[in-house]
Order: sequence, then C-alpha cells, then structure tokens
Amino acid sequence: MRWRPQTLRGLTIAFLALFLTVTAAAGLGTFFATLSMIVALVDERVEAESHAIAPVGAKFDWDEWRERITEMARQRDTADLGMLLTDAQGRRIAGNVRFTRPLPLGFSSLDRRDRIEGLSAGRVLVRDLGQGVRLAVFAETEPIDDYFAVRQRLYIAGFGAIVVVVLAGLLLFRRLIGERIEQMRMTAESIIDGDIARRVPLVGDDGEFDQQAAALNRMLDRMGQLMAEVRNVSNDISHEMRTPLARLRNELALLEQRDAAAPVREALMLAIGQADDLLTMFGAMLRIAEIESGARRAGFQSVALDALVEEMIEMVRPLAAEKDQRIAIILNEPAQMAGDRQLLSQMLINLLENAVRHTPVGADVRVSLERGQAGIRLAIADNGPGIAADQRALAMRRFGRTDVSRHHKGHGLGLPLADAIVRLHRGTLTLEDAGPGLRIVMTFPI
Amino acid sequence: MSMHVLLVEDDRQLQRQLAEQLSQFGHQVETADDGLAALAIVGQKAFDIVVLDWMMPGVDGITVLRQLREGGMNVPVLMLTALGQVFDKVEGFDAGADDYVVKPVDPLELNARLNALVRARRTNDQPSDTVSAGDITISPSRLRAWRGGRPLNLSQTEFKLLLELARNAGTLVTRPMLIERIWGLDFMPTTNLVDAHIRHLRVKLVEQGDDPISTQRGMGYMLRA
Repeated sequence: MRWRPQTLRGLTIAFLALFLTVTAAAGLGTFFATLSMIVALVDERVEAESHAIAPVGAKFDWDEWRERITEMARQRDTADLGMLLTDAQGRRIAGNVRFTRPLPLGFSSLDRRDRIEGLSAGRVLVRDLGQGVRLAVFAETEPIDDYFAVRQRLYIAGFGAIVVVVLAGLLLFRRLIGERIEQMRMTAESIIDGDIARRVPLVGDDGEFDQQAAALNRMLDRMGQLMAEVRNVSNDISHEMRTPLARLRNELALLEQRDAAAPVREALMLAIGQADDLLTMFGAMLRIAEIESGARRAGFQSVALDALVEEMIEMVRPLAAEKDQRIAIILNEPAQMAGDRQLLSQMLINLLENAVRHTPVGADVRVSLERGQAGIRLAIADNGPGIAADQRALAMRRFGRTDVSRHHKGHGLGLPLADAIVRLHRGTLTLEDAGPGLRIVMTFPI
Repeated sequence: MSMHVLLVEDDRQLQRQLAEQLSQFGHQVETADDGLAALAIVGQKAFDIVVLDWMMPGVDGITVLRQLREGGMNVPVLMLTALGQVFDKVEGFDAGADDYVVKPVDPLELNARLNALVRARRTNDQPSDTVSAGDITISPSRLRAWRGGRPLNLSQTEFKLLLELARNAGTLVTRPMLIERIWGLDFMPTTNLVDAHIRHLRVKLVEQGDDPISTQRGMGYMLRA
C-alpha cells in the first residue's frame, strides 16, 4: 500500500472511513439478502398453491379448477393470496382479483401500481394450463403494510447504534493512547531539560504500554548509569592528576627558591604558572562535579543576594578600574533567597571577572537585580563584543571555548560552573544579546 | 622562624614529602602515622604546631583534635582536608582547628600558614589595642591606620588587607589566605583580583614613604616588620 496513516489522527480517520463503508455495505447486503429470500419463499408458496389448484400433468378440466379456486377462496381468509383463471381471450373464468395489465408467463413482481386492494408488493406465478387458459396465483411479500419502511428504520437504528458505540470506543481508545504517548513525551522533555531522574509513570496493569514504559525507563536507568560512569571517570582523572601535578608544581616551587635557580627563574615561574593553571582547571572540574551531585543543597541558608552582589562587585571593582571600566548596579529591593553563599559568590565573581576580562578598555558593565512574581532576576550585561548566537551553546559547554575566548586566559569552565551553580539553586542561566555586548540572565525561584 | 612541627599523615609518601619540604624551611619535623600515635607523642613533647590529616583509618583527625582540646592542649592545629569536604570545615573549626588547607598542598602555602598561626598565637599573648609593622600603626577597634604618624585614607577592603598583612608582618601571607580572611571565600578567583587590591593599597602607602610590601611571586605578599 502506497499510503499508510502515520499519525493517530490519520489512523482514526482511515479506520472510521473503512468502518462506515463496511457497515453500510453490510446493512445494504443484509437488506437485499432478506428481500431476495422473502421473494424465494413467496415464489415457493405461490408455486405450491398454483399446483394445488392445477397439478402438473393433470387433464384439462377448468370446471374442477374453478371449483378449487372458489373453494380455496371461501375456505381461507386469503387476503394475502390471490388467484385468477382466464380463458384464451383473457376473460375471467374464476378468481378473487383482477389485473390491470396482462402479466407475463412465469414469475414476476407486483406492486402498488397494479392497484390490487390490500397489496403493496407481491409475487405472481402465471401458468399456461393449455388451450390459452392461464392461471395466475399471487401472494404478498409484505405481510404487514409498509413493512419495507419499518425495516429500513430498524436497520438504521441497529446499525446506527453500532456506529455510535464504535465511534465512542474509537474516541476513548484514541484518548487513552494519546495520554500514554503524552506521558512519554513529557518524560522525554523533562530529561532534555536536565531532570535526569524523571521516569515514565506506570499504571501497573503490565499491559503493552506499561511494558513499553518500563523498557523506556530501564533504558533511561542505563543511560543514567553510563553518564554517571563517564562523570566518575572524569572526576577520578581530575582527582588522580591533581596529586602528581601538585608534587611536580611543588618541586618546581622548591627549585625556584634555590639561589642556584637564579638564571632560569623566569622559566621556572612560567612553568609553575602553567602547573597552577592546570590545577585550577582540575579544581574547577571537581567543583562542578561536587555541585552537580546536589549534596550542597543540604547546607542552603538564607542569603541576601542584593548585599552579596554589591560585595562581589566591590571585590572586582579595582580590577575593572585598571581597565578603565565602570560597573553600574541597579538594585530595586532586597532579594533574600535560600542558597549556598560560597557558591553564589563564586558564580558572581566568575561572571564579573569574565565581563572584565572579555571586554575592551573603557567598557561598561551593568548589573541589575529585580524581584518579581516569578522570582529573582539577576542580569549582568556588558557592551563588549558579546557572543554570537551560534556560539552561545558552545560557550556553555565544558571546555567549549568560543573562537573569541580562545585568545583570552581562562580554562573554559567559568560559564559551565556558573550554570551548574544556578541549576543547583533550581534557577536558569541564559545568554542574551545586549546589543552590543553580552547579557547573562539568571532567574531564581523564591 | 624555626618551629617544632608534628605532622600526622597516614599517606607515607605524602608524609615523607611534606616532612622533607618543611625541613627545608628550617623546621624540626616529627611524624605520626595515625591518630593513636599522634595522641601518644603529643603528650610527651612540646610542639609549636600540629599538622593533622583529617581522613585517617582508625582514630581520625577530628577525633584527635577533640581529644587534644579536651585535654587542655592549646597548640595551634592546621587540618589537611581532601577536596570537596566543604561542610567538614565548620566541624573542624568547631572542634578547635585554627586553620585548614586542601590537599594537595603547596609547601610554600603550608609554611606561610604555619608561620601565620604561630605568630598569631604569640601576638595574642600580648593583647594590645594597636597593631604595628615598621612605621605603620593600625587601630582595629577604631578602623584607623597611620604611617609615620600621618593618617592613611583607606577603603574598608584596603584597611582589612593592611591589618592582615601587619598582623603577619615579616612573614608571607599567601593569596588564598587573603581570599579567605578578607573576603571569606573558599575558592580562588581566576583573575589577579588580590593583586589589584594590593596595588590600590600600595598607591596609598607610598604617598607616605617607600613601598613596605614585598611581593613573593606566584605566592603572596609580605609587609616589612
């Protein structure tokens, strides 16, 4: 089949169309089958009556035939049975009806147009008994008047009920499937948003959907495990590398202290500086890992973010002043929140240092803190070169240094660290275009 | 300043390296491999300072520290902790630790902290309203400072910096020590923030004379005593 429904809606429509067609066909089929069966039965009866009047092979004797007809008409209240015996000229010899038209030999149908009293539809058998004498026997195919119309209504009611039940069932089925699929989609969305622990809810009936959800959940568990393993490996590397690296750095530091080191002191200081950079980088990675474990939430205390922002700006101000940069603060009202003071300080210092480091001499940095209905909104904007829209996702990744930032000193972990700290506080961090410059917007729920 | 140091560390390799490095600074170092050995030796000899590893099998560092303090020993104690033991810091100070450093530790940093601890202990023995270093006089209670009798116009941060340097005059004060003590932060900024503040302080100090602060490159600062 070329066309196949791919969506639940398409499937529903296709099913409905198919169902209605088949139902209509079945209805019509049943209707006509019943009709032809009635015709066959009536034909049988008419033939039997006709043979009762004039048995096949009996000798030509219309007196006897007339007698039988009169007898039959008298004996029975044969409102549904009509008989007529005519001679070669079509004159009536005996019978209880008249026909308005000549009837053909053999079986044929009668209806209202034949204007026979009390007959709406019937079958007639006309036989030639010899010498032009014809016997016509008919019977009604509708035992009750307008039985046909009644039957039509019956069919509509019966099949209509089936259609309604199936339609309702279909809608219910569609909703049920839609809901289960929606649950899986919601789970996937939450996981994309970083809620790795989210799983698809199970109904507990062990049905196909539950089995599928359970399989999906097991897959998520496995992925979580693998992610944790990868994280552990990188944490282990950071841990294991720090110790020998620190030893190396210490050896260099002790060497530099010696008088004999005077001629190579510059080179030694450079090497120590590089070792320090590496140690700082490993330290930052371990810090991120510690933050992401969520363990520090247990130590959350009330923090006055407005005061902390001012404090951290004062800490960075001399650095900005040396590049002739200004840091402006817009604080509207107190912003108290539950948090980790050390980590929030580190986040602020990181972002402010970035703003100072990545903007040219004379740049402006604007820090604003607002408290709204939804929570606290903290924004740090500069009028430096900013980060191009297509580079922002990269800038948020660990070691994801953009083309521009590569020229500056730094380990490429500043933004990911700040982001991890914001997420620990159940907030969001987004990079925006400050036109010109970069605006980092953080929101925290209260 | 030569000190009698007790180094308690279960990692033999680290113990040997630290002991060697501290000896190079002129200190007399004795070692203990675990908590029980530490408690045994500390009662027998007089130490200027104890360097105590937190994580040790058996009797751990914090237990040793508590028993020392309960026994009335007020020797300065510096704790060695592993990275990530953040909440232990509060517990350590509550138990009576005087300072702590995160492993792996820089020998110069460790030495600077040991000097600062011993010096602070000695100066605290002679309580005084003012702190002096060379021609600089500071009154912590009045938040005022003078050089050669003339008042210095310092910001709050500059005042705290000068006071910290003056309290440790003649010894090295490292950048992490300043970050901790002036700003109360437990991480190192990625820029030369501390240097920028020191430069601002220097500008104000040299208005009244020569530069009394010497820079130990890559490490920290020392105010002339």
